[in-house]
Amino acid sequence: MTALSLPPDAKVYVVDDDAALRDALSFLLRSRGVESVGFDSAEAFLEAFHTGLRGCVLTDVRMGAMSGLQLFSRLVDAGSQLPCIVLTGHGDVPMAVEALKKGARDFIEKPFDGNLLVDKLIAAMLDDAKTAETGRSRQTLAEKIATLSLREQEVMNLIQAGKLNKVIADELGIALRTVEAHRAKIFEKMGVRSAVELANLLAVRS
Amino acid sequence: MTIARRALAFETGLRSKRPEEPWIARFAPLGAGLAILLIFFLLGALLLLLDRDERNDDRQQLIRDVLWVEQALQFQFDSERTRLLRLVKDISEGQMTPEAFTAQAKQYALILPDIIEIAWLDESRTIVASVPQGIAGVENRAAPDLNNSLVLEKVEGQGAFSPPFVRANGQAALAFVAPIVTKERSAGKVVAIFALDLVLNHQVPWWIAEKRAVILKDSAGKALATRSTIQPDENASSYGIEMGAPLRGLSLMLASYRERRGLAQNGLVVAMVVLGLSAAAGLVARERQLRKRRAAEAALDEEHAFRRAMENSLLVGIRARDLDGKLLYANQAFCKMVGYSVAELVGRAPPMPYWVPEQYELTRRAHDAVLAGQTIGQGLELKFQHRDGTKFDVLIYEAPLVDAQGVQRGWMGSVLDISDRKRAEEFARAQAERMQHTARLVTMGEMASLLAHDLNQPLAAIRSYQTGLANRVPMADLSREEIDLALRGIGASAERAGLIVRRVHDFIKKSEPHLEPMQLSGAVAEALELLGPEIQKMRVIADVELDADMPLVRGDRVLLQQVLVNLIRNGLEAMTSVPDDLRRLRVEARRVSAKAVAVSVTDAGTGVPPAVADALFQPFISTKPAGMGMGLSICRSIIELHGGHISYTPAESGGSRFSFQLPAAENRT
Repeated sequence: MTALSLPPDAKVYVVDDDAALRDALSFLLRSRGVESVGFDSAEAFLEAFHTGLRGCVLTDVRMGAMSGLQLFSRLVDAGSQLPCIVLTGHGDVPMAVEALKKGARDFIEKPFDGNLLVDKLIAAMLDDAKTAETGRSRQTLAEKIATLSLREQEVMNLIQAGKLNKVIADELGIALRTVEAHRAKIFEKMGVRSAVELANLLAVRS
Repeated sequence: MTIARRALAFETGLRSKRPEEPWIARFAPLGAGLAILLIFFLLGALLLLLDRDERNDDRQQLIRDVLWVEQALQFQFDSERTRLLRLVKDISEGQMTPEAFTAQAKQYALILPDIIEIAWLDESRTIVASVPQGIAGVENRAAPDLNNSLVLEKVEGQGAFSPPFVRANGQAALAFVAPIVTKERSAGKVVAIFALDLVLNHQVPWWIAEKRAVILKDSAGKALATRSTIQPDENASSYGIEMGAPLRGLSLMLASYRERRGLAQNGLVVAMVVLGLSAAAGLVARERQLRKRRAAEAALDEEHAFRRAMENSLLVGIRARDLDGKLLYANQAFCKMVGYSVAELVGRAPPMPYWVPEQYELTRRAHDAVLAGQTIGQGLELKFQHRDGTKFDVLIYEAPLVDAQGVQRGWMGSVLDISDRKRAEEFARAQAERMQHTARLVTMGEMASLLAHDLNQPLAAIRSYQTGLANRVPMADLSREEIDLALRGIGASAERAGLIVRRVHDFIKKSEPHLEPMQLSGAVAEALELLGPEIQKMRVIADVELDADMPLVRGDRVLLQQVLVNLIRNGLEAMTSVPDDLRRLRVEARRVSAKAVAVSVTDAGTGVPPAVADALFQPFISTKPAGMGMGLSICRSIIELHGGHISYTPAESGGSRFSFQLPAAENRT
């Protein structure tokens, strides 16, 4: 199913102090081909966390010393971009609203529909994968731009602004022919064949 | 006091109006003053009148005296003239020798001491014989007098007195000259000289001389002779008359000595003045005293009105009774309370009209106890009846009524209508009972909601296993282990859910207290378990210490659990405003002795304000914003039902410690 499009290292990190529920969730996720790791407290997960983790966090809102909300805040502080889904009990709506305000992706009230939960988790993981991908392409773009000379960057910015070669030559006070040479060099270095492609590539940057 | 007075003056209605003074009283002092003045005036007038009368009398007396003296002088001179004329006649008839004349004259001079010289002159005015006798020198000395033409020439006829003249020695004198006629021819003269002062000396009696100065004056007004011991005052009254013959040309004047007012009269005047002054002074003093007295009376009136106003404005009824129980006084509040007027009550002896007939005996006994002095200082609760029949509760405090002499005259009682308070108390009690019931329901409801919430956990787990299994079944790739795992998980969660439900059931099932021997630590553990989620939610660190060796208590497990839940929840709620890391709750259950166990719940909250601490276990006292104040009151009821007691003490940490102690169950072996 959809699981196939998930990156191989993506997992659901289940943070809940109730071992029985943790096990049940793990069984459920496995039945949909989703890998999961369980943590019995927020602290335990924070210890294991690093920015390279991919996937999504599923945390109970009520736990021992540190609540799900606090865990989420700490993760953001630590530079996490992992989407976070919060499990709430009946009547915990105010807490859920607060979680959303802080940037949690979603909340699910217990008792829940298992597959709906798994769908939401998978969607979150896909988003995470996409974010990671964008991060990666942004990285490469920056590397390509770095190979351009200063003059070439100037010219590229003007091309991106949609200006004709002649105008660029006038503005920079250089020969039309030189502009054309720069242009060819830029296209080559950036690995594009047209100004349109270049514009698309650069759009990622902003 | 000033302020009070001013306040009093403001309450015009309360002030007894001072009766207007009759106008006559206001003018009385003025009238008295005028009367005294008038008496003064009249007395003065009387004195003046008397004085004038006296002066008049005096003057008349003076005139009488003058006339009297004049008469006396006239008479004297007349008689002397007669005597001298007889002598002259004797000479004329030649029967007189000079020697005889001398003898005769001597005799005369003896009889008539005012005659200082008698002489017989012949034709040629030579002295034939004279007295005083044989003083030749005197003749010479007398000669000028005798030769005085004034004396001699004018004398005609039988003989006459000469005008007065002054002798050489300055003595005023008068001469009587009588011609001696023998046989139709003049044969000489007889001359007698009277000294005027001697005349006065002998002729003015002592009782006139004593009062008056008697003065003889000549026609020029010059004093010739005076009979006077002292010089009369110039202002003294005087009276003078012209003398007739033979002293024509002389005037007689009598002058009163300066009048010495009678000591009595002066004394009278002085006494009168003194009397008048003292009367005036007395009047002034009396007026002053009156004024003072009036001011004092006004002050007293005001004071009295003030006291009356105070008594009447009291809400507490006040009544005084004498030693026999007869009502001496009742204030307005008391009258209002019982519906009778002061006049109807004062003087009444028991039974009082406001006694409740059904409680007559009880009231009577209370009344007798008061009169016997058995109730001093302690309140007495009674029922009274208003005139309209409504009964009300009163609280009476009696104190001995002691008069100014220190003698007890009766009893003073303050009477408070406490029926409102009693009603409020009864209402509170009923309310508390109702609330106790409601609170139990509320607590059970809350508990149920909490436990239902707890059910979510196993239900969610079961649901997850079920969904997982459902997902895998179509794929047919389930291993036996995985199926086992899922089934075990489902089973365990279902069991857990069942436990929770049973707990709720247990909790709700029993509502009647059911006392049986039980282990208190078990109830503590259960209460903690029930509140576990809440403790977790609050992130409170629960510190539990349960003594393993505790005697059993006889108790209702559910009720005791309810107490513990209540205390623990209170503790949790007290720490909401405390930082997470300081939230500690200590629950202790220990053995006090073989006969008692104690449980305490200590929180690290903000504690209980001292003002509330004493009343904590009263109904409707709460420190929580939305609290009903029933919880602790119910706890106390439950603990007391179990024969124990519950108390509050501030914890060392600043929080609160609630502890209760229960008696151990008796060992029935």
